[in-house]
Amino acid sequence: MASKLAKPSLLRTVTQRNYAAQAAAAASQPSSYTLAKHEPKVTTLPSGAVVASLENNSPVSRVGLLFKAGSRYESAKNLGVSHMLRSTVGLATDNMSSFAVIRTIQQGGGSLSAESGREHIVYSLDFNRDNLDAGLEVLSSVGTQPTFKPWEVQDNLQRINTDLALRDPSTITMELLHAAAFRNTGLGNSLFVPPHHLGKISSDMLKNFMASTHLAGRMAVVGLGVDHDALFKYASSLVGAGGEGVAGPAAYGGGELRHETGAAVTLVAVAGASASLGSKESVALAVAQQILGVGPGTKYGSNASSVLANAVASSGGLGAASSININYSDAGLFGYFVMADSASVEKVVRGVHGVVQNLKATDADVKQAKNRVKAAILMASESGAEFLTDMGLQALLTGKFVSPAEAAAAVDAVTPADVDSALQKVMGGKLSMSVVGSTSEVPYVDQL
Amino acid sequence: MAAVTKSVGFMAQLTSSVKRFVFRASGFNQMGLYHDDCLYETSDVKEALRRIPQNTRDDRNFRMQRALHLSLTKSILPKDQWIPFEEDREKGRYLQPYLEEVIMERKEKEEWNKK
Repeated sequence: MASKLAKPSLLRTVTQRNYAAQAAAAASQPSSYTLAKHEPKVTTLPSGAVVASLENNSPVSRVGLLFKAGSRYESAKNLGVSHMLRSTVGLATDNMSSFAVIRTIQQGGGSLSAESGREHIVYSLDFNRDNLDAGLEVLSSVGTQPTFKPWEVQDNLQRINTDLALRDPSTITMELLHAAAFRNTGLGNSLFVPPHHLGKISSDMLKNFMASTHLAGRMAVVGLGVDHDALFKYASSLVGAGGEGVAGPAAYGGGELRHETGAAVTLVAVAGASASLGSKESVALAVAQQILGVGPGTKYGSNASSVLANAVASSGGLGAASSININYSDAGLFGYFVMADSASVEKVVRGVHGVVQNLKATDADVKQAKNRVKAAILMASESGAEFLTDMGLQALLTGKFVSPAEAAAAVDAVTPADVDSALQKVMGGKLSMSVVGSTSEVPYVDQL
Repeated sequence: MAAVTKSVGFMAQLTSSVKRFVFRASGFNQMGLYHDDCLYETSDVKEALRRIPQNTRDDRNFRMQRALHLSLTKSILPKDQWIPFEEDREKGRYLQPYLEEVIMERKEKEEWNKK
């Protein structure tokens, strides 16, 4: 083919390829790229829905669709409907069969999940950024227009039964603590279907619950690794009816609930009314929680820096203790959780209670605890899924987003006096208690 | 079906009378059965039967028990209890909406599996 090489046309194209010029250009380009760093953005739609996003340049996009539709919005008639709702995610919707939902997600290399708490339900989607549109279509279909075909809902009961069977005693203890603390108001409702409603929650009940909770004004759309404008457009396209929907009133009442199982390990949770999400007291209590201790920071560690762990050790009983700090949009619980050998549970509970009651935070304690709170906040933001849920809950419940760095900075302002006064307020009020295990050995709240 | 009885065109009348003839000749109405009681229980039909409401399923089982008993005693229902053509058209296709959905879902699966 040598003769052809000599042809002028080919020679011309060779010169036009400009290999030499391209090599020179490549050399002058930077050898590494720094992607632009973005700040979180929050916008509110006219309907009241909050859209929050952070572009983190990740190849995987995460989008969360949240509604105020947790167990606190249930009534006595439909107790457990929020559990059914989170468990039926992925079943047929008005425009997709259950099979299509699953296959579309699989085909796009994504994952779709639903999680619900006492206040919210979050439908979250992880998807390849390149095919995100296909995933978002499924997400809105699943989150806003499920059909609840009676036979599919019926078949789903097996999953509910598994959920119920997999609850460990500590979950049940926390459920009972909420029921004792908030009595018959919304936050006292269990996250799980009560046994007398098992199999009795019909598709109509699910539809009614959806209609009264999945409204435009009770929605938040959050994204990680997505363009804010695109997410805003997506959120606007999610047509939702207006209106207030059901209110889930919560009032701290206090009380005691005991569940006898005769187990060799007894679990006790004691808590008082505490601060709501985002309040100044909630920060002080977060510090107090770290002073008391939340379990060992090193694997197989003795948890020596935890006040509660020391209290258990000096009580002479066998057990472990950690502190509880839960904040809801308008209420909260703060206290301690004890897990002890049934024979010595009384000693442990009395020891721990005395320590929490009489805690005086020192400067050194507070300084150490502040570092731990900051570390906890920042470490939680390392995981995309956790970050998304956190951003979603903030957007849903407070309408804004405080970035982990800002939240960590807010911790600095806490003083030992703040911690003491917050703690006194909680422990000085009426306490609630729940016990699961061998209840006969556990003192009642008024005996502590 | 109002559309069947009210249509006046020649072809419509012809199809209607052919339908009536076939209905009468098949004779399942004399055993008190509906059209959808006589379907072969393919996997699609079985799935559709699983989805119908309990009372519909109970009615179906009753009609089948009655037909089995008639078959056992080698008799048919008294003529006044035979199911008329119109009733069969109206109520006898109780399984069809469910069956259509099952078939659609199966076709969707087959379509996906081709990819």
